[in-house]
Amino acid sequence: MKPITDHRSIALRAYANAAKVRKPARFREPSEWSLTFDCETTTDAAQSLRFGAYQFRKDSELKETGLFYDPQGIRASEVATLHAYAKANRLTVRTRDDFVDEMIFLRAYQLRARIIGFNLPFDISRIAIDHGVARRAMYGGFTFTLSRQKIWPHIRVKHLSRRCALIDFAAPYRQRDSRGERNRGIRNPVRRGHFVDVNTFAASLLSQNFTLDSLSKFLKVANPKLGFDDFDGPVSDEMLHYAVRDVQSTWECYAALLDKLSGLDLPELRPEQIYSEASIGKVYLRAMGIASWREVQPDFPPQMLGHILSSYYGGRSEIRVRREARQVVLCDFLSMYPTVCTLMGLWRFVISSGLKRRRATQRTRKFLASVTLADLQSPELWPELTTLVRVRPDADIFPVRAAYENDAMATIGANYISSDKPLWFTLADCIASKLLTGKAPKILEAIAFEPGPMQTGLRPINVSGNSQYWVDPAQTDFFRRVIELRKATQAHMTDASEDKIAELDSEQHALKICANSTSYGIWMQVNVAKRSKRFDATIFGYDGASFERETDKAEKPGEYFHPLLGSLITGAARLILAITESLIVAQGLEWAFCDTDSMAIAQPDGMAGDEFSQRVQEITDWFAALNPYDFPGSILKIEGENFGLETGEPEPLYCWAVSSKRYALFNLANDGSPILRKVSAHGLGHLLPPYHTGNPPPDIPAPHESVLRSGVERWHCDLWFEIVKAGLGQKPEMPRLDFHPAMNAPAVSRYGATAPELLRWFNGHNTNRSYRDQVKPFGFLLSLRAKQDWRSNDSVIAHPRRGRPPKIELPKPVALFERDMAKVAATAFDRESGQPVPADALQTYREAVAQYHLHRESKFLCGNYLDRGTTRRRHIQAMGIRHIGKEANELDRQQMLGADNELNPDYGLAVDGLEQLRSDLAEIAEILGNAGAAKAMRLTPRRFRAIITGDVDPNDATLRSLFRQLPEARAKAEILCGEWRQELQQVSEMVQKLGLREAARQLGGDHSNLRRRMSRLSNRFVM
Amino acid sequence: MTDKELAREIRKQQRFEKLGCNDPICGACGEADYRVLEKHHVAGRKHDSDTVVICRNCHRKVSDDQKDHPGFQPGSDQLLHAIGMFLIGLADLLEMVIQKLTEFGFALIDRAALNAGEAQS
Repeated sequence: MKPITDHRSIALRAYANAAKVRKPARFREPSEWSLTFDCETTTDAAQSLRFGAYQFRKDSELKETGLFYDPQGIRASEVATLHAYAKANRLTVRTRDDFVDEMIFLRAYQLRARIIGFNLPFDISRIAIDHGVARRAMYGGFTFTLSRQKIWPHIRVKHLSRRCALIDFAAPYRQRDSRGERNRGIRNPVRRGHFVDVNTFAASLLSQNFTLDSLSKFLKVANPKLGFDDFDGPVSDEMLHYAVRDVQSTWECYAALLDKLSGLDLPELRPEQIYSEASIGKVYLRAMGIASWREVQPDFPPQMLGHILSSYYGGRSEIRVRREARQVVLCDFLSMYPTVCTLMGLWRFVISSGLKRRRATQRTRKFLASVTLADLQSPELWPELTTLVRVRPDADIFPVRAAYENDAMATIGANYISSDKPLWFTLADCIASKLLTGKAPKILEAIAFEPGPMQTGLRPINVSGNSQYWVDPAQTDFFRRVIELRKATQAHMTDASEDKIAELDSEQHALKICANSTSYGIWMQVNVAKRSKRFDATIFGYDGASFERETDKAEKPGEYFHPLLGSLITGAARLILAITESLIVAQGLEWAFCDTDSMAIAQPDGMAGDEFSQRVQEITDWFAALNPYDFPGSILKIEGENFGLETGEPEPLYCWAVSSKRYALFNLANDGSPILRKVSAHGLGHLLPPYHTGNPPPDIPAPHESVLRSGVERWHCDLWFEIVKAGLGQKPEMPRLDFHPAMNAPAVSRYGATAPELLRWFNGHNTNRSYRDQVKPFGFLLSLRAKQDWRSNDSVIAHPRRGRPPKIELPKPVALFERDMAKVAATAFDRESGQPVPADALQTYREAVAQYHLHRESKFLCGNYLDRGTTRRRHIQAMGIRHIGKEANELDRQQMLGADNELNPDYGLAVDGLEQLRSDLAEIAEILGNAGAAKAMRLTPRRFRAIITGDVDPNDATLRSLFRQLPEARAKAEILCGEWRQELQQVSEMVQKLGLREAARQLGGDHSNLRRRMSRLSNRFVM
Repeated sequence: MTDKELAREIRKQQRFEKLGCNDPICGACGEADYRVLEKHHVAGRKHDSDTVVICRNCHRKVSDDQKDHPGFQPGSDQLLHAIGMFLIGLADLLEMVIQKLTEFGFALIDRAALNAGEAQS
């Protein structure tokens, strides 16, 4: 039995049945008109409008093109330049007011036109003359006043992610319905407009992030975006030409994307309705006539949803060999989620008219007791895995979601867990546990799920409008068919002509979108909306019990929300990784890291390269039997990084892994220096590059272009180069971090003021400034960090000689937007006090990444800062269970500004968990004493006593703190108990040897006191 | 675009917005001029909110027919009554469609005979 290493509270997803909100109005079609516009702004912090360009079209026919300007934003001479340019190029010139009233409202609004732009929230905020906080459905967003005429409505913008925002017209400040209509009870819906952000459109359709420049090049439009740098200078013909071209380029990108969209053959899908790939997936399902599970089975018990959601965990991302260079083979599973969907036959559930469930406890126990690794090679077994089980974990390996080592956020690690409370897991997780521990978890209850009768009204579709890609949802497993079609298309590309390749590439891309968008995300889609007023949500926890919880975050399930599928898919993916892990161990190999659908298999010391390759091949071959597709081969593929850049032949690949998702893969040059093949930007992406690719460090070789992908920048590669180089040398703890002079500059992150609370940081700056000069919504801002050890002179002087030292709050520096990084430090100020922050208080890039190479893998043992080598699984004793909602809500914001628990829905401790906590605290208090225990728990003795006695119910923040401190306090109490035991043993031995009186004499005390002391020690509670 | 053209286009788009589509057409006679198209409550405004787009002439006719439909008896089942009214309203519309189809069919036959006569001469 593995000894328990941690007593921790664990977190489980719960089902929150929030109060219903009003349904959004039915989508209304836009007309054939469109208005495309773009703004050019000042380069100072306010980023105010100078001028802009627009195009007004009917379908693709250009009806009017022009320029608009803010009279306050450009000088009279510049206006003359603008007019001259417009005359020469037959452009209409309007002032901002005129543009807003005539073009945006009189034409675009009245004619129900599409309003198109690239990064539209920024452009809308530039032409606004005022803003406020949006209400109701758009709460958490902004409302912008554009026109000085009150008859025109405001525009509301709510930021959702870096990729998308909700944009619409607010209700106009006038009567929408005529008297006759009102008398007849007719209510006209609010005209919400049709806003298309090309940035969102492209990201959803092409599955990557773009700038207008990169998008126009990617789509090969006729008029790509021009390069221009001198935005500080006066308005010139070149600048105007750049602005006019920007609009043309935006329109052409939009038109090209519209072409791609029409290629998907989904006439229902409109560009303004696309927010992500999931939007496309939903329309595919609708096109096949598939009704959502919640629609066909609305009476599914919410208690059961509580069980199902508590068994949901994301993909497995872990490292096993930490901070050691190891030769590896990087392997990746072919389309992991669609593959497990196919293996388990989940398409039957998608097209069914509901779920059927039955008790299968005995059968599942028998199955789990007998299942072996070899059995899992049989595809016939996988459809049996659509079962959830309730187990009492007893040193079993399951995914455990907890704040390890008092981390700010809970992470998921496959650890040993023991719990007095039975927990729900997927059957796949139970099998994975058996494979890894050798013993089957103790099943208390099992529920097998089966699809109900097939839905009626299913229709075949041609994926991407191609009749060769015909899929009949009633006859075919859609997931399998799409992957097969994509593979076939890719195969055709190898011997196709150049023109044909582009066409086939577009088709295989459409198939990829189709597979990705339907195989996982939409089943677990939950939208979190922050409400202005707190409300009571009904929460259904892991045990099925419901309770009311006051919250301001409403979790609204997506249209095709089907948590059973989400849970089964990720559970099966974890099982696939557990199988790989077992095979690796069986082959006498090791693994360095894994991430959802990939695993780096490591070569053990002393094993020959050929033998290693042979055994890896055997592992990949094992999975060939699980290939559900019509093309041959294994579903576990050896990745391209294992082959040489020049030769394409297999070449030794090495890995340096620090923690989950932080690793570098490299080859070794003849001189022993690393040649990077793949690096992670995890934990670095929030920082702006300190230097650009044109100004790299002279002594670090340029990485191959294949390394610079998925958001990896040159400076990330240089940092990893130094980390790996140090790792291969004598001082792995001390990589050279000043490899470029810019690494000594303040570390800067850029973020947008995308929510009212973020803009509030600039209240001090904005006071007494005209609206034009203020920092406005969606303006870019800079965030910096204070040095951890920095103390202001005031705090040093004010330090009293006696008493508790005052708590020193580090400043939270932010700065106004500035393109020149050298000037940023001069404008930094504390976002709370508004006081300037001196440059020497700001953390530099070097300091910001100082511990990057030592980052803890806290979910495992031997994962501390200086630990190297193999990590070990923890054994968690679950002490309390927290109910949580959607994890990583507003992920972009948390990545940029740091983890913030306040953004994630949290429904607190399970009801019986509070009683358990009180009893644990009472135990500790008995040993450490009330004052000692209170001190260990960082509470006042009075408050501590009040919590134990139940006079006070701790709030969320206190609970979090208590759970953080509890393991440490418990450890302290255990140490004290040990000391008592030792003391009692020593004294008892002495008394036995010398007698009570003599022993007391030798100990310098009285015999009656010694007797009392011994009695107290023996009576004390021993933990 | 002149102010007049703009005003006309705005009226047109507002009409489309009211009618709920960009290419409205009379469901009974095929009239496609947006200026004469309206929404008609199939079961009658008091009974159900479902509407269809028809032209003003057809609207007048079916609305007149609706006046002959039985009224609501106090105590009756509202849902059943509404369904009944909807079906009668739908039948009225289909009757107009049948009439139009018949007229169209005869017109085609007349045209065919006329074309044959012209070919012979």
